Amino acid sequence: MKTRLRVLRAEKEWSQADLASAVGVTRQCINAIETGKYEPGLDLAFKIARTFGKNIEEVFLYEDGQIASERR
Amino acid sequence: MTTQSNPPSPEIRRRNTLRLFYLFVVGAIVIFTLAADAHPATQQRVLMAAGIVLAAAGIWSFLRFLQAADTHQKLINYDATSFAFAGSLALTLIFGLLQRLGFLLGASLLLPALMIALWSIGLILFSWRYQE
Repeated sequence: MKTRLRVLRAEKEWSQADLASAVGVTRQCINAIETGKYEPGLDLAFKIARTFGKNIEEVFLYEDGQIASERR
Repeated sequence: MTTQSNPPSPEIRRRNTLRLFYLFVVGAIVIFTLAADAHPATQQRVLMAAGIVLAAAGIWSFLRFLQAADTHQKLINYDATSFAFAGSLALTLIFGLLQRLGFLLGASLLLPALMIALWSIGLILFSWRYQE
């Protein structure tokens, strides 16, 4: 699974710790998601997407697909 | 976006409960060791009771630690627990064999401590997997 988390975070100028605090996880968790070492569960994925005001498909991409926003 | 200072972050909450867990466990081990050598029976009973209270507090803080964990930490903890379980199983078999041969007769008391040590090693090992 690919993620646009790092890009979206950079756009908002949020640190990993800021995002972690907003969604109630550790900074290590956000880092693991960004580096592809950990795939979040649906609950966390939705929380992250909503924190950015996006749909889940705009933040996370299943490996053989394309990110929704890039398709438009 | 500003980082909230209150309540404490999940990372800090998790660390605090883990510290509390180790504190209670070390306390329980010390008290149980003292109780084993205590002479008047009443003193031994008091120490044993104190040890049981500390051990129960250790279990309580362990459960708090699990509750404070997010899904990523739960995954690390799952790996660490599996590691500790497999290690404890192997050590139990080795200790059992050695005891049948007349060695390490008091070693059964070490097993809970070994399980916790293995679990701690597992936490460190499986956390490293996610380091930058």
